[in-house]
Amino acid sequence: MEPPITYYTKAEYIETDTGNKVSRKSVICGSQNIVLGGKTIIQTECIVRGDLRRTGGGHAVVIAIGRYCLLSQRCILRPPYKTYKGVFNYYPMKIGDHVVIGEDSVVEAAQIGSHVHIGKDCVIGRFVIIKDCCKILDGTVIPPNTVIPSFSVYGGNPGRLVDELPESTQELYEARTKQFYYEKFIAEHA
Amino acid sequence: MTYRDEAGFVVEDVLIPPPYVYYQCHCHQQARIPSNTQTTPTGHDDETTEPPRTADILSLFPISRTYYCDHCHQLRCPLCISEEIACYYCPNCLFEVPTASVKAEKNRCGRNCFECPECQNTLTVVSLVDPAATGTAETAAGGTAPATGNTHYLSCGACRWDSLEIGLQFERPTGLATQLQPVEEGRADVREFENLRLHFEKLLKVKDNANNQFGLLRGRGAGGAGLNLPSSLLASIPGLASLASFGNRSAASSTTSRDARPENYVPLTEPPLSDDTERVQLVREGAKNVTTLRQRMNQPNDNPMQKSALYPQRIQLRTKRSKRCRKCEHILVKPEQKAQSTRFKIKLMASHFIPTISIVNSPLSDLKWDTPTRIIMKFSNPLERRIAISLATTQSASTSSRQAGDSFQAESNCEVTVVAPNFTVDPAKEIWEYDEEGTEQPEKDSRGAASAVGIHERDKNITSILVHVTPRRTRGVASSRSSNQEVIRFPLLVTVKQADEVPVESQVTSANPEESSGTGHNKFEPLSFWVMVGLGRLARSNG
Repeated sequence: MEPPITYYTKAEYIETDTGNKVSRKSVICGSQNIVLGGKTIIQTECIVRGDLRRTGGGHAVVIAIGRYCLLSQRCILRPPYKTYKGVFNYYPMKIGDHVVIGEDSVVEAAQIGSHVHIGKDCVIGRFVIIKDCCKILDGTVIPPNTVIPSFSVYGGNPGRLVDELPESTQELYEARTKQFYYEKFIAEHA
Repeated sequence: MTYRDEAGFVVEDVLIPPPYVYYQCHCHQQARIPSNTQTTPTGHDDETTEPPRTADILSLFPISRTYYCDHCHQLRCPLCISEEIACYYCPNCLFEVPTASVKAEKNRCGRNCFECPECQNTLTVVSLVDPAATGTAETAAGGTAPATGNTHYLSCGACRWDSLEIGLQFERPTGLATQLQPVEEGRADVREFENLRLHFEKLLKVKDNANNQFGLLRGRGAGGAGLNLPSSLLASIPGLASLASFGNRSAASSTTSRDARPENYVPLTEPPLSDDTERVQLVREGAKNVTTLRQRMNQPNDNPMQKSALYPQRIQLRTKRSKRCRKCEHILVKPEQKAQSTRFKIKLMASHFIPTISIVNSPLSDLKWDTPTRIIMKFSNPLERRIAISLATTQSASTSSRQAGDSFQAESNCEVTVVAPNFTVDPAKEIWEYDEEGTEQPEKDSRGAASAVGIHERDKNITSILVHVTPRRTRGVASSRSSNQEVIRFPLLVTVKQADEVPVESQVTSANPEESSGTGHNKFEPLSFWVMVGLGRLARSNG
């Protein structure tokens, strides 16, 4: 029912002023292009590729992540790319609030709404749009360019609609991510 | 597949991973004891009679799936609500489809969204720029010469299927559904359906006239629905269309026997004779060209056996639905009209009205046969008032209930002792109020510890209690199950009342009770319901 408490060593994590906790053992590329909304946790061995940005132009946000998000161990966030009119380019990735991305998942989505739960070992293809309040089951493969509407549960390979989420999803996921941040992710007293 | 449908229940209880706490809705009791539901208006006396059986697992829901009707003051589960469609939208382009055109577009997206016939993934439009390639492809497909030289086709990002495989391409990259419309309208099954519809409309008109003549007020609704439904269902099966029309007509003419016998339905197409040569051919060629069952069912008009006959389908629309209590017709859930909005105008979820129960420690590893295990159950109060909760197990409840108690004892596979069966849970407050009283927290804790044994912790609007569970082997009742693991679970009767004693901190507000409880549900009705607590699995054989 309740997730077990995760203990971390205080030395491993950098805590920012806004309460983000980023593991020193994660790979964050192009951090000047990454925005974390606050109280977001990036766990060990995550890879966040902020360096893959649009060619030309000045400073641009490549990966924007909202509040109370959780990037679990070994997940990979990579902005989507395509060749449009003969020009290869990366495009920005936006992630809303209260989003959980499971262990070992690879995400190349263009947009992930708020209150989204992505399971373990998932592959979210390029330019996928996941709207608010969705759940992706463990081990799902979402092919590129898929749109996932609100209150959907997707599973399988290729990912298909398998269920709908109840109306209380918003509060449920909000409570869950907040609970994880405050009560379940605790610094170990070394 | 773990998930069954939008109601959200799971097919086999073994697939619900314990630990869980599932709530039982009252509708279940009413179905079983229909006589005495009317006698008690609140209905809370009835529930003490029957705890959920193991077989009732399909009627149990997590609290997130249950609703609370604030008119009936009862829980409502997905099985005892009625749904109304608030709007239709395409899950891919997220455009809202007006209800008027949903029928004309056959519940599918009339824009640009197609589904891969191979893997049911959404297809993307790809442009083909090479003029030489387009020229040859064009002649092969027998299409008209494009104006620009660019052609477009559908491609699947998951299985690499593309519509060029079946010679389907488009002149423009937009409005693909309208470009395909003539092809779709020319299909045999669509023509047959249209023919059937015309036929039955004529029949209905005759029947209507007859009814009016004889002053029979047999609503067109009932008769119409009876006729329309089977025809629309059966028309998708060309072979049955003529049969269906025959059966329906005889039924219809029996009700209006004074009518002149209407003309026979003449089908446009002959049902294809089952061709053995085709099947033999398929067997010879091997399985690689044969469609899977899912692919076949996804193309309901001809259920093709060969992969070459598959073609992309327009994506089916999804709906937003409002939900009503089936008993009092009050709205429980009303979504905002906009397709993309995730907000609700009305949302009466059970978690806003009744305590959420959860298991804090995961006792999976600690469970052993015949060994008592301590579990901690957490009750969180969503209301702005202090509530009193009393718990009863089947052992304690069965004395007051009828003789059924024994069979429940046999069915439950553990002995449960609730150390503190009566306790209170503090009201929920805004977060800043908790911050203010942070200093007096230790005082509160000591009071909580002193007030009762068996209470593990009191914090904010949460009370955690201790429950001792001893798994016991059942006496061969459940041994018919195939798996050699058993889910350790027990039912628990939860009764929620408003706490009698006036809490210290709300004494100030109790001077004007209307103000403090002016949230719309002034009277707090006592409520009792059963929950099924699943703890974990234990192997049947060991130990």
